[in-house]
Amino acid sequence: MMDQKITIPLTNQISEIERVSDIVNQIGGQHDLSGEVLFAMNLALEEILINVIKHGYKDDNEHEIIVRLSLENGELTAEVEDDGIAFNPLDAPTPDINAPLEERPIGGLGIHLTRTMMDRTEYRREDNRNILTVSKKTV
Amino acid sequence: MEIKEEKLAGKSVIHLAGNLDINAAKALEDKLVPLIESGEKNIIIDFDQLNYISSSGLRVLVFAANKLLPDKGKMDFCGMKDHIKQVFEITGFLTIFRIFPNLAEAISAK
Repeated sequence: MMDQKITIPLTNQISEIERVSDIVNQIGGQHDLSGEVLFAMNLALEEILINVIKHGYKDDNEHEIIVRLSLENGELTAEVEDDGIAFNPLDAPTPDINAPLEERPIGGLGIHLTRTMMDRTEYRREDNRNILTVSKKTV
Repeated sequence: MEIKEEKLAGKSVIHLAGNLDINAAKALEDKLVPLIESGEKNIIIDFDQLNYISSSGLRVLVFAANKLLPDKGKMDFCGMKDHIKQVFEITGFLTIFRIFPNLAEAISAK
């Protein structure tokens, strides 16, 4: 399998998420990645980007979010870099997934899915930016 | 995402096709909420043509199911692909919803 790296600059708009997913699917098509891998990656990216866009900023200005996708060493990896408030979503508590319907927590499911479905997740804060990396094995 | 509605054996069946992502979640909410407010108590959501669901979609399902609770309404699911079932499993949704293999079984369930 040929390695590939691609950088996708986004603005902090929900509508940008679809553009990322189109590119993920394109890479998947080119490299014959499984539907399972693409589903997990698209899901993780949607959840991460929604978090950043909805909760990451204290102002209403336009911000840049950079997504770096790479396919190497048998892993599809996405690195999401933003200049929002310092926040490590991987530290978020696991929602109570056994609660009855009426007590179901509304928040936290997205990051719980991301942590569970990805093979590797990692957060770092660097130069006032959040960098969240998620990887899924392709083989 | 495409949303189609039909009545079958006194139940409202909502067929979803495509991706239930953050953009589609609002459309589904706009479909389900008026349906429940109009008094519908038996809803089946057919996932047969659904390829993708994110937490935004899950949130709408919980919201709608909670609106059904006071009148003891039901919302069941059918035709779920394995990767979507996995999302239901990870989030504990398999314990709060009934999932049927196909529409016929969901229709005939009490």
